[in-house]
Amino acid sequence: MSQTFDIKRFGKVLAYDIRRLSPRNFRSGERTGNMGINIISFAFMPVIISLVAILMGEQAAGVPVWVRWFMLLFTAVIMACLVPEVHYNAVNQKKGGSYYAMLPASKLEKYLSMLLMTLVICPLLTFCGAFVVDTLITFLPLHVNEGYLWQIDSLLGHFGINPYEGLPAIYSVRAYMVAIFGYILFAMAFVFGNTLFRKSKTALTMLCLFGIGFVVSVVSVLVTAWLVADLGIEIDLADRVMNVATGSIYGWVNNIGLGMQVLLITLLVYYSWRRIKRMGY
Amino acid sequence: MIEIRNLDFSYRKMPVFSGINLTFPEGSIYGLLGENGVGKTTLLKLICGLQRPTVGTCTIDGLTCHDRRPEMLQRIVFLPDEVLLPDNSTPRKYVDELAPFYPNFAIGTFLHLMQELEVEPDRKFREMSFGQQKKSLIAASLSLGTDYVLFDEPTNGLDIPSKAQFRAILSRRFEERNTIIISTHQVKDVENLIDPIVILSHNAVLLDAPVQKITEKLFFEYGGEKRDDALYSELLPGGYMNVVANERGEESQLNIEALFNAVLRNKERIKELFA
Repeated sequence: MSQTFDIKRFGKVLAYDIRRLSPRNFRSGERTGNMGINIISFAFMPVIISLVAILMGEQAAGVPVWVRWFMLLFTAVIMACLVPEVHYNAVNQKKGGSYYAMLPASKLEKYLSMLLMTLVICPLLTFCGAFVVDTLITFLPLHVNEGYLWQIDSLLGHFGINPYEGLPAIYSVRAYMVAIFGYILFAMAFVFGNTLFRKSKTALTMLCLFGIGFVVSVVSVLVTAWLVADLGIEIDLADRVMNVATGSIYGWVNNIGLGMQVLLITLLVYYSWRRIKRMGY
Repeated sequence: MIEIRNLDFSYRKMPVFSGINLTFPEGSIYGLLGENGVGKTTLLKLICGLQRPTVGTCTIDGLTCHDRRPEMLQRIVFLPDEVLLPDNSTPRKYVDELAPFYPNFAIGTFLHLMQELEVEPDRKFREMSFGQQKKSLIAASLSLGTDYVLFDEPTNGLDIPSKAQFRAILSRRFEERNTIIISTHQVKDVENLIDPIVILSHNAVLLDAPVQKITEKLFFEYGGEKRDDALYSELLPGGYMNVVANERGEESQLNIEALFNAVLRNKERIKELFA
């Protein structure tokens, strides 16, 4: 039996992690990652919106499908951000960490299980639960939802992620890839933050992301201002180039974006793995 | 067998061990004693692989501890002084979650031990006292069926009858293939249970000897006058208790607390005696 990775043992670790997912393992009210609360809050959001509308004297209008899709995906992403702290809070802590580290499985198996739980299982469970509740609410004669979730033509188009829908399918695939990698990158930041910080892990990771986002925005604005002022480039040049050769430009922009995302994900995976591997308790 | 060879360890710039050598063969319940901060818990963590030696090696059956390979982790259980328990869980659920990882785990043993320690296996941890939680964890640790069991202050929080139960359980459940290491300050709680005794000091091992050898080398005299040649003397009701070098080969009853004090106050002399 391999000491680095054994599929049977990995299955045991995953089953162990899933069993411990149960809310009974967390003191009620102490943690915010309770999946049930997430699903219920999402599912009742349209009801709450309609109630607020009625209270404000407006006629309750059904919540559009794309808005609910947005809420559903947002809930799933929030779940992915919370799982590291809620479920693996102890990995870098003296008390609980040693217990997890002493579990007879390899470090790689434990780490992969953590990634699978954070990136796939917990968000997917949240997504499925919320989907079912939303369908039930739409089915009931409450008129708070405007159609079922599957009654949508283009999801990314609504979010403005894929404004080139008329182009060959490859560009839509790339747009979906950018969205998926973006999600993985965002969630991995929280996995890394969970190994880095000892307390308030989600909040501190979020603060760091805001900080990085702020710096990147300021640099972008400065670079654009410099290009416009010093080099005399017209602001709408990029748009005009896009209109002339939409396909190739869009493809290149997407490729660069994807490349950056893959690079950052690789770095986050590497450093969070390194920290977990070298952790002393 | 646990083997520690030329091991150095430090927390950042604070050295804890410097070139220590220790061997823990199977078939004994070792007592790991030492003052606060000498590194008893650190030594247990090094054995578990929860810490990495700066220099030297620490192995269990030839497997490097800090690699924490599944094969090695399956053979060892470590019960720290404080454990973060899932409040809403119960001891039965706790062991149910661990059971798939330990091929020798026996639920019958666990339930029997829980009954003996008078703790309900289906009661939530949050409804238990610290002592009851500790007893649950002791039962869980001993039912996993591992060859190596490491306890850090196991009697902390236990009431007097529970301490006696702990000693009885450990004596009864102990098998020749087992190695149990108990790190404790409460030497009275484990008296007559631990043999050999290891006493740690800052950076070094002061004593590593079985009880028989200790009583061969040292004489524990009760109820006499205070002796000038005593390595340690303590006034008790009825006279002094003296620890002296056993030059005449007399038999005596070991007093671990007195031994500990004698060793700490006469480091060089003890080294000479046990060399």
